Amino acid sequence: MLEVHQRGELKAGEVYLENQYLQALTLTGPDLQAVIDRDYRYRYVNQVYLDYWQKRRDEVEGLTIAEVLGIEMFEPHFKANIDRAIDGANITFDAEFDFPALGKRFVRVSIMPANGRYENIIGAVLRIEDISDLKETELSLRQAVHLLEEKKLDLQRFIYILSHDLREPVNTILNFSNLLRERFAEGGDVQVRKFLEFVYKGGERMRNLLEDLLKYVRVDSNEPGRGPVPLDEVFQEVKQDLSAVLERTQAQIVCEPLPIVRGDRHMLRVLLQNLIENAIKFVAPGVVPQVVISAQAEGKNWQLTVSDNGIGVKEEHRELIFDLFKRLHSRKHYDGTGLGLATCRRIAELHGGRIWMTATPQGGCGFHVLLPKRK
Amino acid sequence: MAISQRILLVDDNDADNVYHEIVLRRAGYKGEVVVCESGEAALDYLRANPDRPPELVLLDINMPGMDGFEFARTATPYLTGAATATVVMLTSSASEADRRKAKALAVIRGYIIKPLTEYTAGELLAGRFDDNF
Repeated sequence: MLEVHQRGELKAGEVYLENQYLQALTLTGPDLQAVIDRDYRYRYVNQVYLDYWQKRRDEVEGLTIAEVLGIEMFEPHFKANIDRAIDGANITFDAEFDFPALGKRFVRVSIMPANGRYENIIGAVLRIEDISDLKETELSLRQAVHLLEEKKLDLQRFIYILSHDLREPVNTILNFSNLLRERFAEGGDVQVRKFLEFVYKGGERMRNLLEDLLKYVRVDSNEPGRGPVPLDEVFQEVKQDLSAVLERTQAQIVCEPLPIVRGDRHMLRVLLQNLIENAIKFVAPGVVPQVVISAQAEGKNWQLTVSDNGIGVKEEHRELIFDLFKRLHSRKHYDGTGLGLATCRRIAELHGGRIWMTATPQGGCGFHVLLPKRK
Repeated sequence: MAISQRILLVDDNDADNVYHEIVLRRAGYKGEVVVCESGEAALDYLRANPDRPPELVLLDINMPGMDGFEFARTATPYLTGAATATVVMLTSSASEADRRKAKALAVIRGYIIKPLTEYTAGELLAGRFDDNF
């Protein structure tokens, strides 16, 4: 809104803004604006200023801040800051003001030197921005985040305790059903052997699920490291850990030179191990697994790729497979807990990257992970 | 065989105690197995049998009442000195915190995650302890 004021009297030395557009620029806006002279006297205020303080123009202009707002407002909030501004500094600070009618509001106050015609500082310009809504939103957000974090911690603790406490009884089932299997390994009762096999297998599945659950929860609950991680070394460690599987399946793993990325060594090891394990596992019967691990630079990141000659994943499932507990195949064909890729995704996310899958020309899978370059 | 006379199992889980004895026997152990289902019971045994100390103590962590660490601390005078017993944790806890606690107690010379395998039992019976657990 355009505000045009006529002054009855112009004191010597004052400059009257003739340019109406300049006036509009300086006077319009949602904030409280005022210009004061070196004696802390209001020379000009905008309408918003008057509205917030519920004053008439003649109750403000020409009077000092102390006279208008009271010494208890002037001294703590304004005096020292205005002095600094008049000295040439730009001051900004947040405060809570108690306005008549409106009540307590959070405000952001800026005080800047007002330059006169001859490059001298003639006073200061005050702008007061009402940031109460902003503050309220900020507070709600902070409370929501806090609540979510609490809930997440509770859930993690719950899952952890559950998985942990279930381990012992699961081990008991495994231990003794195994002993029984051995005792009934020879002899006529085929049914007993079969039933015991089912018991044992069930126990094994429980144990694997608990292990994977615990791994997943642990990924989430720790702060990921942000140091340099040489993926070459990590691969060697994974290869070592998988030596029995590699021996058994005669899987061929080709690993091209891998870079050093920035992240958490343990998590990246879990990631690589899960991807390689999958690559070895999901092959057609009779096929020797062939896995290729490579990396290429993508701007600020490295794209790590693990590709295989396996059975592949249909296009409509390529997003799903990263969901928790999602399994595509029946246990008869390919066993698994459905947690491996969900864990990989979580790890990728915690590194600020992502993971996705494409199909290789032979119909196998290529899993790509974006990881940050080492600084 | 380094351990051939007396092994003390301290675990509140009776199924685990039965199983671990079976595994020890399969690994060739022919001596006595003393089973205590609590730290308190194990302490009572040690106090009552100063002339029959165990050579090896397989110790669980999570037990109602006195936990494994508390037992290890309290029982140390009975396990060192004239009768030296090796204490090895045998637990389902894979937590780093527990492992560190075990490392901090001098009398503990191993940390095994259940179940005890025949192979590991063989190592223990041969006196091969992993001080860098």
